Amino acid sequence: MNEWFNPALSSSHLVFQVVTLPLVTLLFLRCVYRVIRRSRSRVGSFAGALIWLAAGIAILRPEVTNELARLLGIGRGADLLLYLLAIAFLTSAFYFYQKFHRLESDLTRVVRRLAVQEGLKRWPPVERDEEGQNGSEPGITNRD
Amino acid sequence: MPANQQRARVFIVVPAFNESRTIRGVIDELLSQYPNVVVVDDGSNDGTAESLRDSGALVLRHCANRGQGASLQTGIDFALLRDAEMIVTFDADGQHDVNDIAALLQPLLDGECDVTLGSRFLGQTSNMPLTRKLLLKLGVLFTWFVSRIRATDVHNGLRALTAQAASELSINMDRMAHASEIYDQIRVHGWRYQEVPVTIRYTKYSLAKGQTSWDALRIAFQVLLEKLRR
Repeated sequence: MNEWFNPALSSSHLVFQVVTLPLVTLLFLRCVYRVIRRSRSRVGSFAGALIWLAAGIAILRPEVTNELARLLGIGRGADLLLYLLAIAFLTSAFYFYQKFHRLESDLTRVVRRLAVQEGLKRWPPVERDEEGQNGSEPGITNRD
Repeated sequence: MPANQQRARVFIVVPAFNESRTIRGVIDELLSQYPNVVVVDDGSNDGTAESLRDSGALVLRHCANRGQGASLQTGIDFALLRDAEMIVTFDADGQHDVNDIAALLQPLLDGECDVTLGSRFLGQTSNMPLTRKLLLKLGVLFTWFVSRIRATDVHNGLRALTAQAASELSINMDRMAHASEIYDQIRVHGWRYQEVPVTIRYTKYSLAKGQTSWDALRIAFQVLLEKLRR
C-alpha cells in the first residue's frame, strides 16, 4: 500500500492526491450506486464509474498514463490526457448540440400551436364533408 | 390560368419577419388574384402584423421568432386545416412575381407532379449580382451532392405543393437551412417535381434582407451537421 503513495513524487503531488482522491472516490461510488440501483441509464452510469476509476488510478499513479501512452505510440501521458480531453470535448459538444436542437424544436412546436390556435379562433377550420359547418375545437372558441 | 373556383382552394403562405416596409404591397397584390393568403408573422417587432390588419389576409403570429422554416410549416399546417388543395410559398420581401404562381400551379392541376419549384436560372432575373450567382451555383452543386436532387436553383422561396405533399412535409430545420431540407424530402417521399422558370427582382431592399455569403456557409454547415445528427 505504501508503494502506491510513494512513487518518487514531489510532496506537492501528495497534496493534490489528498485533495482530489476523496472527491473522485465519491463520484466513483455514486456511479456504482446508480448501476446497482438502476436509477438512470445503466450504461451511462457504468461508463461514468469506469471514467472515475481511471481518473483515480491516474491520480494515484501518474506514471501509468505514461506507460499507456507509450503503448499507444503517444509520447507522454500528458499528451494522452490531452487527446482524451479533446475527444471528450467534441463528444459533449455534439451531445449538447442535440439537446439544444431538441429544445429548439420543442419551442417551435409550442409557438406554432399557439399561432394556429389563435388563427383558428378567428378563422375556424373548414371540414371538407360537412359544408357550412365549421368544426372548430371546443375550448378555444370561448373568447372574443 | 386556373379558374376562380380552383383559386379558392389555393393558399399562398407568406413567412414574414420584420417586413412592414414591403409586406402590404406584396399581400395586396397576392389578394388581388388569390383569395387565400396566409401570412405568418414570425415574431416581428416592426408592426408587420399590424400593417395587415384590414388587408383580408389570414395573419398568424409566432409569439417568438422561430425562423423561416418554422414559419412555413406553421402556415402550411394552417392552410391544410382550412382545407387547402394546393399551397404556394411566397417571400414577403417583394422579390417574387405574383404572375408566376399560375405557371407553378399548372403542372399540379394537370396531375403531372406533386411539387413545383421556382427557378430563377430558367427564367428572367433582374439585377442579380455576380457573387450571388456564383453562390447559388455552389448551392446547386451542394444540393446535388448532399440531397442527390439535380436542380438549377436552390433557396428559391417560390414553390407550390399539392395538399397531399404538403401534409407529408415536415420541416425540422427552423432557420434558413429548411430550403435544403425540402430537397431531401422530395427524395424521401418520392414526390414528382418540376422546376418552373420564375422572375426574381433583386432590389436593394431584398438584397439587404436576404442571405449573405457567410449565411450560405453557415447553412451548408447546418445541413451537414443535421445529417450527422440523425
